[in-house]
Amino acid sequence: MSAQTYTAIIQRQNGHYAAECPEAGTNSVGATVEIALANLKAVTERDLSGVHLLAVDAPLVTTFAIGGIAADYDQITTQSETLAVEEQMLPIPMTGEALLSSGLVGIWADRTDIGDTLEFARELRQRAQTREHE
Amino acid sequence: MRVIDSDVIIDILRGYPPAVAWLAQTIGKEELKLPGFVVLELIAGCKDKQAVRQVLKLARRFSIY
Repeated sequence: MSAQTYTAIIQRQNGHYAAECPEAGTNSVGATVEIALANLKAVTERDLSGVHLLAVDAPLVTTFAIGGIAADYDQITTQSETLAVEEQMLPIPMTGEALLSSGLVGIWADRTDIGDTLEFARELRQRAQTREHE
Repeated sequence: MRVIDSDVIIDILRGYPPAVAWLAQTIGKEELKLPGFVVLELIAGCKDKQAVRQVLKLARRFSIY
């Protein structure tokens, strides 16, 4: 398959970058623009494997403001709708720092039923290995 | 990149100070990965639905393999 060029719309959201390809309808996230773009490329390649999209004109990507001045509806394009980012498809790489700031550290601090962690982990593994199908 | 086992993630969930210090000082910006079977073990170790939700929230943040 010959190489095809697609559009990537990237926006910074909640500390990460969300990327979307309007032609393929794919999206991704990443800690940096480069990672978001690489994830979008991977997702789009996966989704379009064996699929050949009809050639389309490169979309016009622009911005607009809401509020203050009444919108001229004749000028509104559907492009803004493509900026909506759906549920992330690839997770952001979890680092030690990210885990520390995730609010998840210490959520089991009140678990009095866990004595020795290693013993508890061993018990869970054994339970998982010997679990009978219900 | 480091893969973390059940006992380590349990210590982190418990807020065990040496585990928290290890995250901050040794891991820092290094990526962590969570094996799928560890997620299943954590779910098996949950007391109630609220705890299961917390584990699933944790799992969503990781690259599971």
